[in-house]
Parts: sequence; structure tokens; C-alpha cells
Amino acid sequence: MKKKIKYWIIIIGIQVLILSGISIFAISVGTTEISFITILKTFFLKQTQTSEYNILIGLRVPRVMISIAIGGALSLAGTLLQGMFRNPLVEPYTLGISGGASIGVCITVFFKLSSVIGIIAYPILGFIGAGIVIIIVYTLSIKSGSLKSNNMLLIGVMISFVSSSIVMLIMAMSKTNDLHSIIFWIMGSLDETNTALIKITILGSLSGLAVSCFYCLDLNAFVLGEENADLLGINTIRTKKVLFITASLLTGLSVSIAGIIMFVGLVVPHFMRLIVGSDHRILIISSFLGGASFLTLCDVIARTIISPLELPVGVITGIIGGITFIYVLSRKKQVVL
Amino acid sequence: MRNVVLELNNITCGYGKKIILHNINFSLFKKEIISIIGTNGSGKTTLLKTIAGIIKPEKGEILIKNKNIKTIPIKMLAKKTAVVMQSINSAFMTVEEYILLGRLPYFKKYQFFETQKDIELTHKYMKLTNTFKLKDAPFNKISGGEKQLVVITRALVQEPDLLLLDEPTSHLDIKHQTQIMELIIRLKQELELAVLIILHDLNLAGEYSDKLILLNKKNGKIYSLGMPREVITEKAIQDIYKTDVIVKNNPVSKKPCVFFVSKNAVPA
Repeated sequence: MKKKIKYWIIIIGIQVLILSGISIFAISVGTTEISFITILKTFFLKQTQTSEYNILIGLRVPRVMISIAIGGALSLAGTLLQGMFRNPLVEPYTLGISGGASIGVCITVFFKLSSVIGIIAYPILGFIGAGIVIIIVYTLSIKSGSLKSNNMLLIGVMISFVSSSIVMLIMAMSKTNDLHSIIFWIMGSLDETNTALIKITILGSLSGLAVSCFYCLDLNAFVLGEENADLLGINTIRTKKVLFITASLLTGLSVSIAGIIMFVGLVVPHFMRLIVGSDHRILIISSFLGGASFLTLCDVIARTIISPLELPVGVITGIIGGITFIYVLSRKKQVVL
Repeated sequence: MRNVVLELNNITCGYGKKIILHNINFSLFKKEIISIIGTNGSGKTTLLKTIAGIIKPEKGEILIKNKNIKTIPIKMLAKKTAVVMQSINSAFMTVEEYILLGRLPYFKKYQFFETQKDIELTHKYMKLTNTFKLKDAPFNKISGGEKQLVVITRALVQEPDLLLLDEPTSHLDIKHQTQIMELIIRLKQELELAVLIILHDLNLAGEYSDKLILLNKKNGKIYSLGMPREVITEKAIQDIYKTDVIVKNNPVSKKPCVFFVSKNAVPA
């Protein structure tokens, strides 16, 4: 056991190092290159009057923090759902939550709500949309006090279809300008500078991680199937409810802040499972750190590849995530869960 | 008086409104193996699941060591009863990790890691079931027979008084079937377990059980309960299974043995 814990600590250590490396790289590259020395000087010698300071504190650090929080949240939500449903194809968006958030954002754009309550209308309406879907999926799939996994998945998938049709309907009725905002939002962006929202995202994401850690052993027991987990004295009904709500809130938060960022929640948990195995005691933390690193790296690419223009980060995660995943699967020849 | 481990008093159970079994009564003692036999759909698994606490009975009470299972918290129940279900899910973990999951009922509230005692016990039972050599093998890569042994070991590390098994020998060849049944007899003796098994194979049930329960699908009641030679009779098999058979005694063990009689087979 001690050997195992030691191995886990080493893995977490390596992942923290990788994440720190990527974060430093992310705050140093961009239209204005800022060297590592300058970054150190700015933070440790408190050189606050320079233009570098403004770029770092005003733009790049918040962006890196947001990408860490959201990358971690999405990947964590994916890990929880895949573990709970014992299904390798489930990802945070399978439950239709992104669809609800998209409708919320489309309504904001269509009715120009942002001119009434400001730019904050996007995340607020997005989160409300996500919340409504969470409630619908939850109440529809609850039967005799317990959540029925298959029902939950089917209802989620159906809600995704319905909401994407509604989004298309709103888009069909929108003007060209609005269309552009909707499409860009849907493609995902980590460009968020509102300090309060950044704080909420980080806090939400970390609380999700904390809650999940308490249920890591329950998720291990789920590997044996729900019935067997029950027979080992696990309160599977409660675990499923708590984890469903945690995963949904994490997804809702991510979608309303950053739009739809594909693949992080599907690919990263798989990768981490290949590396660290199915034991959720390490997998949960590893997935969080892995998702954070992956999204931060993808965001750097999205910002710099056609600089000064910026690509939507969702496009990059989709391309990189999809291709590497196919490559790994074709070599590994086995989907693990 | 012998120690009663499991006692069913007037159990009526089923799925929701669909009642499958009526007024089931029997007792299972320490160091005793009872096999449940009966046709498909006669309620064998329903009965097992009710005893395991997965299905709540409509009527009656189930006592484990004189305590009604309704009053036993689920974690506590997992320390008294261990269940081996018929289907085995694939799991991407080593055999040792898989078996260690059986120690979960003993974890304290905020305990996340196994203790040295958990690991020692796991190794002890792995040696007992001859699975220690598979310790580091991936669970998904071992054979069906080995998997069944591993799942039984996982149940044993729960250190139960009562072991419930749902068709532990299905899909196995005769070598593995007898291996599993011999193991169960050894466990009964060495660990003083009370064992309740569902079996389809009447000859296995007759050979290895102390008592048999034959369920009657028609009325959802017990058709007969007793020693193998009292339960496995030509009349009972004809009544329940609607099949013509000849029942003779095994020349060595003197236990009942069922022979099929085909009307169309070519004489040897």
C-alpha cells in the first residue's frame, strides 16, 4: 500500500510540474512575448508600473486561471460520469447540459439582454439554461427514489437534440451580427476578465474536486456494477445523486463561462485511465490536473497559431484531442473503464 | 442447539406488485450448504436477492443471526452477508485490487486507504482459494474459472457468516465446476460458513449440498425441502420440470443422480 501511495504522490507531483510549466509558458507567449525573467521580476520584485505587469495581471494570468479551472472541471465531470455510468462514451455534454446553456446564451443574444444587464448576461443566462436542464433530467430520470442510469443518459441525449434544434431555430431568425456572437460563443473561448466570475469559476471547480474526492471509493465499488456496490454497503442512491449534481454543476459552470469546449471531458479521463489505472483515488485528481494542463495548452495554441487573430479553443481541443485519442486507441486496441 | 444463521419466516416477495414467491420458510445453519433448485423463472434469484437485501419483501421477516435485516444498517449487513452474483462485470484492475474492494464495508467514515490488516486478510483468503498466484494479473485477462474464484474470494474478504451464490458454476467446464464446489465445501468447514447456492445442475446440487430447496413455479411456493435424496425424486422432477428422468444413486457417494431419458436417441 505504501508503495502505491508513493507512486501516486510521484504522479501528482509530475502532473503539478507539467501544469506549472504549461502555465508559465502560457503567460509568457502571445502578441507581446514576455520572458521568464521578466515574469519573475514582475511578481517577486513587485514591478507594477510596467506594461508587462498590465498584460500579465489584466489578461494572461486570469486567462490561465480560467483555463485551469474549466479544463479541470470538464475533465473531472467526465471522469465522474464515466465511472458512474460505466460507459466510456459518456462525457459532460451527453446529459444535455450544454444544450440548455446554449439556449440561454442564444436568448441573451436574440433579445439583446446584454444591453440591459451588461456582458454578465451571458454566463447568468447560460447557467440558468444549464440549471433548468439539470432539473429536467434529474426529475425525469428519478424513479422510486433512485436515479435510473439508462433513463438519465437517454433523456440527456434527447434534450441535447431538442436544444440544438431550438438553437438552430433561434439562429435562423437572428441577424448576421447576432449569428456571429452565437457561433463564437458556442465554439468556446476562455476570454473572461470579470474578476468575480473568475473567482466563482475557480472556487466552483475546486469545490467540485473536493466533493468528488469523498466519493472516490464509492466510484471504485461502482466498477463491480451498481448492485454489487450496494451489496458492499455503499449507498449507491445517494452517491449517484451527489455525483450527478456535482458533475452537472461543474459542466453548467464551464459552459456558461467558456462556451462549449469539446473533447476535454471525454478524452482526458480516458488518457488518465490509461496512465494511472481505474482507481478513482488517484484518477479523480489526475484527471483534474490533466484536464487543466490540456486546456491551458490548447488555449495557448488557439491564441498564437494565427496571431494576432485568435481561434476558438473548442476547435483546437477537438482537433488535437480527437486525433491523439484515435492514435492512442488504435495502438492500445482496448478501451478501458 | 445448532447455530441458526439465516431464518426466513413467511417471506412473500417479488418485483413491485408482481408477487413471485409466497410464504417461504426455512432455516440455514452454520456449516451447512443449502442449494435452491427449480425451473427458469421459479424465483430462485428473486429469493436470493431478497435475502441479500436488494429486494424488500412484501411480507414476512428475514433474520440473520436472529436479527431482522430491516434493522441492520447496510454496511453492517455487508459484513454479515456476502453475495456472488451471476454476472461478472469487467474491471480494469489487478486481481488483488479487485479482491480488496471486498474490504470496503470495513472502511471507517473518512478512511481512504486499506490498512495492513486488510491486505494481510486479502492475502490469506487468496491463498485459501488458490488465487494468490494471480495477484498482479489484470482481472480482465484471467479465465472464466479463475474469475469465478476471484469473485468468491472478494466475497470471503468481507468475512461474512452467510455466503450467497447465484449459479457460480454456470459457463464452466466440469473441472472448474467441481473445483468451485469442492472449494465451497472446504469454506463451509474451515470458515464455518452458512452457504446458500442457486444451482441449475441437479447432479451438482445433489452431490455437494446438505439440503435442497425445490421451488415450484406454479404456485410460488417451496415444493420440497430436505436431504438431496428426499428432494430429487423421479416424481418431483416430473412434476416440476415436466421431464422424464431416471434417478439412481451415485455408486460412490450414494447421493441421487439424474439420468436423462431420450425417446429418440439411437441405442448405444
